[in-house]
Amino acid sequence: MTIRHSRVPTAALAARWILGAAYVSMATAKALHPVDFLKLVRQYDLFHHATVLNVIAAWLPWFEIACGIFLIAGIAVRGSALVSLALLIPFTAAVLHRAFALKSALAIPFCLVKFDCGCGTGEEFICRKLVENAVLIALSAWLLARGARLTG
Amino acid sequence: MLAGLAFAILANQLSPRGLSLTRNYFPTTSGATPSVVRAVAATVTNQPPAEHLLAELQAAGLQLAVSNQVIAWFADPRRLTRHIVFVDARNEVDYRQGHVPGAIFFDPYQPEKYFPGVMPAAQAAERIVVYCHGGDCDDSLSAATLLKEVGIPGEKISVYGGGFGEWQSLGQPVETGAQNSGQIHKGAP
Repeated sequence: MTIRHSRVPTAALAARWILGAAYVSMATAKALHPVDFLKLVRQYDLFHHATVLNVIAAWLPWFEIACGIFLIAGIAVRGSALVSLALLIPFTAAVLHRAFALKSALAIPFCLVKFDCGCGTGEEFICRKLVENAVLIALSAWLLARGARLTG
Repeated sequence: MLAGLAFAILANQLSPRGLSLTRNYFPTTSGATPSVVRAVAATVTNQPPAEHLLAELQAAGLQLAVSNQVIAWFADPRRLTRHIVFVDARNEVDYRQGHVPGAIFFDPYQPEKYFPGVMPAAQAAERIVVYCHGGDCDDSLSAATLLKEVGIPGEKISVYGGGFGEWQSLGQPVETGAQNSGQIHKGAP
């Protein structure tokens, strides 16, 4: 009988947990206050149809929580990492677009732009938010690249 | 991904705060999005913030009220006989922290829950003053539009553009806790 030891690299485990915990913590705030999240989604001015706005505000936070739980538990890691990238990249682009609009309106340096992006963390300075998102994107991409090996 | 989607659908269905997918939570007639950028730009360019609101209100067949009018309505004895009513369209936490004395709480995002409380007073009143925070807040517009949609004549619904923020800054009285709690404080100018 062959005993196969599954060794999950510590770095991969840490990446999964950091990413998963980030999703669960940030999405929980949105899931508990869906109306507030709905208003923030609307402020991006990207979607105008009521049903589309409602679907995003109603489902996205719970979807993110599920994604976070999967990552923490090590279930469907590649798929979750892919979904994470698919969420983070367009969202970061939208945040960036809005930050530039605010910068122009306020005529202030870019890094002094501060607003509630609907990330579940309240108002944040844009440069800090972009760094955070870059880290999350990098972790997602790394997990995706390492693939099935991470699940042990 | 499908498991996550199924979880999301189920969670929203089961959550007491879950959103309806079909309801229009922003029932303004123009369909314009109240962008923060727009509000900020208006401030920077010294454009009166009420201008956008006025256009939206006119399109919706509603009235805009400025602070002098609102203060006069508040001082009017008809307010005590419920011929003039104030409607607070902010969230419940903010309402309990302070509202215009005697104002009725009406959350436009849960109208079915709050219509029973606001409708009898709105039907009987000659003047309904709806407010939210002021500034870029448009919950008062949503609330006023909902009231109009259920049959309250738009001519008697006034939206206070300055909102509760202005009310407080003008040092007007503020009631904390529940409606008619009697805990009246002087607003901080």
